[in-house]
Amino acid sequence: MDNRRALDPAQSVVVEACAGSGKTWLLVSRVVRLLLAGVAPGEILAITFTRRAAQEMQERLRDWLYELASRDDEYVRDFLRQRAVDEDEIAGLLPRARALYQQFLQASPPITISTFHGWFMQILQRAPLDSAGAGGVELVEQTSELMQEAWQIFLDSLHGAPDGETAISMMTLFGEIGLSNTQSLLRNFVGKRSEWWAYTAGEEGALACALDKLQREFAVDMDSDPVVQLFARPHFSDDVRALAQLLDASAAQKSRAERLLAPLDGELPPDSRFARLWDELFTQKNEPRTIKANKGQDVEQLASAVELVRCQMQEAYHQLQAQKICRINAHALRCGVALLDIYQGLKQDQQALDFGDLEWRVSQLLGVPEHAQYLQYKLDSRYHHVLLDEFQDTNPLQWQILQSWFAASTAAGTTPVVFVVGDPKQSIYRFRRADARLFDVVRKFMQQHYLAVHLKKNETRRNAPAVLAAVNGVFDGLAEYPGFEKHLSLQIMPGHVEVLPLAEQQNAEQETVNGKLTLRNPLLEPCPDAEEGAREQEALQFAEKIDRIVGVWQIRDEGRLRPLEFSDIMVLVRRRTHLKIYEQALRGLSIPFLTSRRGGLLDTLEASDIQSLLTFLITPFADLALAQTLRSPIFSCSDNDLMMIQASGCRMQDAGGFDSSAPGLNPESRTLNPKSWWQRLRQLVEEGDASAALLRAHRLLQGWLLLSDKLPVHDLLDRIYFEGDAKPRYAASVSAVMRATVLANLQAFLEIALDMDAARYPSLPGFLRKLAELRRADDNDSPDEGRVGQSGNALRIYTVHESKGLEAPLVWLLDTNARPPADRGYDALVDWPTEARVPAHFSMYCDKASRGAVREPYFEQEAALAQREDLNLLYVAMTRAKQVLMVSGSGSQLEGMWYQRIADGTAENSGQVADDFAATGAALREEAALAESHVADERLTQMLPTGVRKPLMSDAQRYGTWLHALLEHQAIAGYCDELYDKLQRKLNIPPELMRGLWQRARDLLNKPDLARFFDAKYYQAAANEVAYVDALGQLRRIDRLVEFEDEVWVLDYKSGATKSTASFSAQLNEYRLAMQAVHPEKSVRCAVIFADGKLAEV
Amino acid sequence: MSSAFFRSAAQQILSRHAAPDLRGARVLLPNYHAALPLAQALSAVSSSPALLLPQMQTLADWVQSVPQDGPVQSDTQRIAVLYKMLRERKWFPDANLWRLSREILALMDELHVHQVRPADASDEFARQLAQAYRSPCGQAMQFEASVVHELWCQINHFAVPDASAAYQLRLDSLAQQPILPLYVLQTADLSAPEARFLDACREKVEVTVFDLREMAADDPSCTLLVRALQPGGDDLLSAAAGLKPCAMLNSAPDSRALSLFGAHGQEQEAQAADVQIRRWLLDGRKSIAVVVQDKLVASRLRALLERAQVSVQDETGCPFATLSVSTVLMRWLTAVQDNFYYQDVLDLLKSTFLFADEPSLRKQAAYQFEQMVRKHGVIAHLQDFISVAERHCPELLPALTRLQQASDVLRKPVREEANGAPCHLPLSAWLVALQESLELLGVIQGWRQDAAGVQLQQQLLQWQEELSSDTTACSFAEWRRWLAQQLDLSSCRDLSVESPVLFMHLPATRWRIFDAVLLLGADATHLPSPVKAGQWFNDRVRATLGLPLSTAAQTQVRDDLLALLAMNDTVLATWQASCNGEPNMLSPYLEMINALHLLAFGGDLMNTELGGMLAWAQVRIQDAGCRIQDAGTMPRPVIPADLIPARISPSSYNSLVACPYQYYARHVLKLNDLDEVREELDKRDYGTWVHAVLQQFHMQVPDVTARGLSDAEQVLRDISEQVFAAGLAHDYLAQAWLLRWQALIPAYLDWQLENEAAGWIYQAGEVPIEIEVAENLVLRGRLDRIDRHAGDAEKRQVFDYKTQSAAGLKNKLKEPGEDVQLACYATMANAALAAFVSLDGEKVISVAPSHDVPDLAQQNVERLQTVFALMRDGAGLPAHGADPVCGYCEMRGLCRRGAWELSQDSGVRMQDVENGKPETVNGVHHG
Ligand code: SF4
Repeated sequence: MDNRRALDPAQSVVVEACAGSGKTWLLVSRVVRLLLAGVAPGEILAITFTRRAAQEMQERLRDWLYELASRDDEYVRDFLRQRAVDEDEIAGLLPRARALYQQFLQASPPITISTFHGWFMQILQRAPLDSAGAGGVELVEQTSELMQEAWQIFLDSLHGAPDGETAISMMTLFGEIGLSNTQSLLRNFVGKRSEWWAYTAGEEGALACALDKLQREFAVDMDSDPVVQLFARPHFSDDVRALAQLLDASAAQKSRAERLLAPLDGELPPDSRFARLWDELFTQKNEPRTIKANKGQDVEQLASAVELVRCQMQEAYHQLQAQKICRINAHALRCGVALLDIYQGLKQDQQALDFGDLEWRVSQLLGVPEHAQYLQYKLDSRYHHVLLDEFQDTNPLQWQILQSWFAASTAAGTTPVVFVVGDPKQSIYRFRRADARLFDVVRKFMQQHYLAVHLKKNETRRNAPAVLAAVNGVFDGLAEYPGFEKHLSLQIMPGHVEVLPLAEQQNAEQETVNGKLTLRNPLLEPCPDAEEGAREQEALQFAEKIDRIVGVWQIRDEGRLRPLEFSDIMVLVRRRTHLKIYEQALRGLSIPFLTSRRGGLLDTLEASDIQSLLTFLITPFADLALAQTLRSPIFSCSDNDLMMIQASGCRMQDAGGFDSSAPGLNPESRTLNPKSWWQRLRQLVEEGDASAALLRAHRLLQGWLLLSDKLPVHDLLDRIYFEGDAKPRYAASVSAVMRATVLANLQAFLEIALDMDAARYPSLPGFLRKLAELRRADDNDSPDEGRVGQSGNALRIYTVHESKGLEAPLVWLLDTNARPPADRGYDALVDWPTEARVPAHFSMYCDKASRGAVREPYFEQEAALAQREDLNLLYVAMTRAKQVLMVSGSGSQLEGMWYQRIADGTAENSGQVADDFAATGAALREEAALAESHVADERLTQMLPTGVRKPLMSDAQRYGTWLHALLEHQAIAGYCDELYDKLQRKLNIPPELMRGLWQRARDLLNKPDLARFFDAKYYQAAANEVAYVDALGQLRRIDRLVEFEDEVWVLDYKSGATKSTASFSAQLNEYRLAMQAVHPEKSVRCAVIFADGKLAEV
Repeated sequence: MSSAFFRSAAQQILSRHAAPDLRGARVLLPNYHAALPLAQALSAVSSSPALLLPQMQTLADWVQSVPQDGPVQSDTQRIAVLYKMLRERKWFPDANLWRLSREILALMDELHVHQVRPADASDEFARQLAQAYRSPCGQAMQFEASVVHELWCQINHFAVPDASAAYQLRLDSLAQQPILPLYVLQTADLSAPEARFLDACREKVEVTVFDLREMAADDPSCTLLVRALQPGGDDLLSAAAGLKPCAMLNSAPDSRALSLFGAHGQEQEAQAADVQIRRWLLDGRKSIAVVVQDKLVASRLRALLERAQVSVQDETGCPFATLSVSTVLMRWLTAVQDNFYYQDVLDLLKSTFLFADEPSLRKQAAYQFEQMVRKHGVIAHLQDFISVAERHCPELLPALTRLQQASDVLRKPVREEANGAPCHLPLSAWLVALQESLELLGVIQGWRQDAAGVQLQQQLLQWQEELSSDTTACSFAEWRRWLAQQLDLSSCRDLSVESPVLFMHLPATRWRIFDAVLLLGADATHLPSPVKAGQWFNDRVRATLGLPLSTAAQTQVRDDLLALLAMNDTVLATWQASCNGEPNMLSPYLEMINALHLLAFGGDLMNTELGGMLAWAQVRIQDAGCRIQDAGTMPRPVIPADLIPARISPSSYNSLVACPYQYYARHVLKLNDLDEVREELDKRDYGTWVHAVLQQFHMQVPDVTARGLSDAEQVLRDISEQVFAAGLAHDYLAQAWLLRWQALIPAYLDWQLENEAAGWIYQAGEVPIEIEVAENLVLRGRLDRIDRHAGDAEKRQVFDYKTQSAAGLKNKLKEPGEDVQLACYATMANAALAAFVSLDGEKVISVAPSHDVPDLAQQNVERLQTVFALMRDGAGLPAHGADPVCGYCEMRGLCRRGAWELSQDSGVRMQDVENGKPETVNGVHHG
């Protein structure tokens, strides 16, 4: 490809680059070229798809710029040459290249490398025009809880007004499609709210207007009755009769003829007459029945008679169906809009936005050209260069926003230079409304309006030729995949593609002895896994193979061979639905893995242990939670321990012994509530019957119970981990390969707690609820950005969506013989032509049978897009593999599934493993016991008590302090009332004490022996809080220093009651010496004033 | 070197003031920690035995000495005023007006402080703005201009000065007073009014500024720092070439050192900081500053330090909103506002601050309330809770009554509003009501025993007082939002700890010297934190108007960082080089310092020793007495005779078959999952109702054929409505379930007719039966329904209604003996036939076992006998449930399947030794 043009700072460019072709390299190189060309960092806006990608770009840019600043000239020249800088310009650019690093680090405003959402937030935050954004908003990622809350409120509102329009609509929906379908329908409506708003934008009565459009589209008259009209047609009965007559000619069809005639004259209501006729001419699936001409019948005549009747009936039928669709839409939209209002209201209350809202807001804001232009001036950054990464995943709304932005830029006098890079083959975010067709539209737009050049890149640096051969084998020439161009590999390294045979279901054989039935004895024999499904077989096959090849196969890493490790393996699935089965198989073989399933963490035994422990702490009668806690490695209690506890309860019960200290057990409820396990455990401990493990458990739990309502959750957990010695105990209780994963899970759990503590209004019950919600949210199967961190040597499992931008030496595609998820129905149907500003169609649909002929083209289009995206997913999945691609699946082979496509595409080159991989190194499973690392300094493993909690001031001390303060102030300012109030507030003196203190201070000042120190009449000078520093550099403070003609008095306040002065003499002597040094000419005298006003000279 | 800065300041002061009495000079400090080193420097330079120090104060405290005449309008009050204005003007109908008010207030203060006066006329101001924006003056801009302008005019209307105006006034009058020669310790730029004040002072006395930035620039050992942090300059290589070794930052371990530690993730960063701090403590360092840039890591670090009993003196404080003292407050308000949703009530009852005068009442109430909710399924409305409690749990009433009374205090004003519109009260009135209700709840008492609680209570009272003259009327919800914002923005400090380890923010380090400094969270997003650009204006406009730029805060951070590094000899900066697998960049300041250092001296500043220590340098508590469970084996508990159950039901028999350990846990240990509180009706309720409907129906209509279909249908429909009625009253969704059932009624009657046609006659329903199947073992259960045959009175059939699909039921029966329910029922009813009746979907279908039922029944009884005999003989109950059973088993935490399964498998698995792979080891070698 032509890097010269792609990197030319003045040229807008659209690059279509295949997977692994170095898009990031290109994009960051372009940024460097821009900076070299004198573009300020603040003038550059780069948008990519994930935060991780943004961070990586930022990092790469910084590293390159550092190299430019620090390496020798030859290196820099070479660097610039690679980035297609003209040879004759290079010398001149050197100084600039060297300065970029510092310029980049210090730039203000800095370069913007962000995601769409990050950038949108920036815009909203700077837009006082956006009324809802004013004052700041918060972006929420998890909305399932909010949705649930909205649903509850919605139901409550209906309950309160059962005769309202909405409630009636809801009832109709319940009746027609059932509860759970209604719920999906309405939730899906809320999910498509941007489309709905766009569709009904600017309309007064959105609902009525949408329905009206729908009825017009269906050309349906809601008030007519098509059946009645049909029967009222003059010819219809005749046509049926004619048909019957024709049929009557054949003996075999006489009865049908009669059945056709019967409804014509019967007394039945028109609907059932219609239904009966329909059943004769159409199958249950509403397809035309085949009515063959028999002997004696004219084939054509019969066919046309049948057709004549059928046509008329179908017309009526379509009318009926259309009416029904419109009716359901009316109800569904009414309820949907009501639910949506509640949902939006909730978010409004919390000033929260989700991603969808954010996009919609920004599109609305920038949709007004004047506002868009205003924002150009408003932001501190003026973007002259816009770089868009992964453009195939942009959705129409985002594109609209960009267009508005570009237009406004142009209007404001700077037409941006735009760089677009992407790969329509990797467009996999339809569920986030990304539209792969957009790429072409945008390309044309850019070519036309920005004179962009269009470049294509089909060489990859990532995949080994063998992997690439498989990719080409699958996609090259594929009719459903137009536009694919053969990829070339720039890598020379061994590769391998292996398609495993499909796993089949294993059927267990019935065991009968002598034909007689014998039942399994469950104590002796486990339940045979009778129903080991095909998928379980595949999982087993998968886990076993991994187990065999890790440590054995050789992988090329930075030019050197080394044995394959778990962390080299990336496992990909299309959806998370069946992940548990594969995880189970991996656990079975002690293969460490990390999964991005959030619930995956919470489902682990260790996380469930901790949740049980916390549950017990807030619900001490949760016996099962306590029992699990005891069994966990933190306590390692045995089943015998548990039976001890249970048995002690029985004993007490038999003896009628109840713990009266138990909360809330009045005589009546005692019989209902036998002792809780916790009470029994306490009893056992008190009676001295507890085992060592139980004793320890009791002691620790007792302590944690006391802490549980005092400490924040994270601190509590940390205490638990620490005092319970949790991590080492868990480490010792699991196999070595799993150790890192288990410990990482425990840590991850702690981090969730830390995060939530930092949120508002934390509490332990709230924390547990949040966890439950996280687990539930997992069900909705929404692909997310991967959250899998690096943790030891573990295999990673991702959905294909999450694997975007990642690569691995070995990629394993699981479950490739599965059909892509079918449309579940009960959703909104939207047709939003790529270039249109608003959708062309919006309606709700239920199941397949109720689609209606008019909507068929939309459904077909949807299906085509879904099909295309499924292939894109496969493309993404396959191209993640650097060296090895493994493919497995289960069931009997289905046409058109990934499995078949890969199997066909690799028919010639799959098979034996190449020598490079099979070579057995003396590789080891990372099995070695956790090396006891060498303790270099014992002291660091021990307690180091540091710091003290200051004792609170005693009442007497506080009283003394107040009195001295009042003394000083009164001495200066006198006794005015204003001062009274002010001092009370300032010193925070309780009103009931103030009056007394005030009076007391006043009395003291009037005392002759004190007055001379406080009344300015008597002394030359006086000062409070006189600071001095002594010869040792110690800072000292004298409470009051009063100077007379020939003497100087040092006064020290003591807050306690009068005591002997002996204990203060050392301190006061120090003062005396110091002041003597300062006032060598005067005599220095020292005295203490006690809280009761007594003065004692020292 | 650090003390050199103080030394040179001391020399200058002493050159103009004679020791030993320096009281004729005044020093303005950035904070009081700088006093001691300065005093020491003065003492050292003067070498007199005692030195009366200059007046040393912060400017803020000095200003305090000027009496404030007249009242000052507090910020709380001004925000209320702004809020009211915004609310009336309806400019921002959807916005969070409280937050907006605060932002606008900040802007107003800024304008004020910088003595910017917007043009008199709004249009004029808009033109001014347009010029600054260099854009055409469109509608949007006019809007911005008019908002700012109008609010500006309004808010400056008040006679009472606000805090910043008052400060200004006092500064002015301070400048009028006779003053001593001034010395100012400074690291960053002063605010505008303070700068003006110094200018005024300069006219009367000599003002000497000790600016650390300048002092550092003159100090050869700081060249690298200064060069790295200053903007612009020559290129990196030549800058590096110009550096002298004295500027090296990590020359020797115990003299002057800055080092950097890039951690993998949060935990490692916290651990590194923890270990380093304890090393410093062990070294005998007496003051260790932890400069907190990243709060989250700091919380983690504090927990780690506390493991080693190192307590932390925290100067940073944290917002009230994140403290449990405010959780109780906000939960209470949520409960009042949202009709006492049970989770809020539970949270309340589980907070120690509630009913602090009567802790036993609370504990008991928490326990009983939870039980009540689980049992009776009431999920909201205090009144509903009370009426359920009256019937089932009278002990709970005192607690509920207290909640009721306390809620009345807040609710009363709402209810008094006659027309039902929400009641509006001034904020202070709401606060008064809040105090009263919290008093009634015993929360105030609870707060008194907690340092943060005391501060919160003081804070609430202070707001109440500040707002006492404010009249902005707000609804309950508006007030709550206000309160939430207040709690977000004010913070609480724990001042009770004294420790050499201090947590602080960067500005608090000005002119301070520590034995060691740990800069926590020194990444690009935290140091400096991103520019907080407001919604109003941009930098160009700000520059034009004379306001500081949005980047001023960052410049300040940079200056503070420079000062910190210049003043302190031992600094470790930590950051997360990667977090969640994403790269995370180092602070650009430190990046520059490091790069320059690397180029100049060939070594970077990365700390290399700490990483290796983390593994062993952890404090740990080990209980010597208690063994650690190693990778275990499958449990197989042996049940002592006195714990073997004497009764078994068909469903517990099922559990015994599916997994003996599960049976053990459920029926020997008698453990149960707590009932979940069900907020929505679900299939279980549906099943219960359908059972009840059919039971009642057949009592009335045993013979549908005889009664006539339509008549029977009517009866069934009536009964259905009656039975569902209870649900309908409480739950809207009951309607949907009822509709679902009603749709099935015809199918059910068809099925019943067919059944009758086959000669079966309904005999009884819901029949409890117990039979002795072995010595000491009774099988007991309840049968849904028994039919007898018309032709043969002895011929019986048992039915079990299921709301599952027929396919699922068939699957249950596929393996004979794996589901024992029907066989048990047949045994108990002595019936030859048994079937499930699937009431699901659109059809009603009976599903019977394919095996001969009497044989099946017999076999099952025999097996039961065998199993119990084995149990008595000491056979253990293994935990070998099949995967699908385990998938839904609540006992997984007890049998710990997963923990041993792995190890067992891998242990048993023989490795191919010839292949050079070792045996799998789990602490135990398997031969
Ligand atoms: S999890 Fe499985 S093995 Fe464990 S008790 Fe439950 S059913 Fe049995």
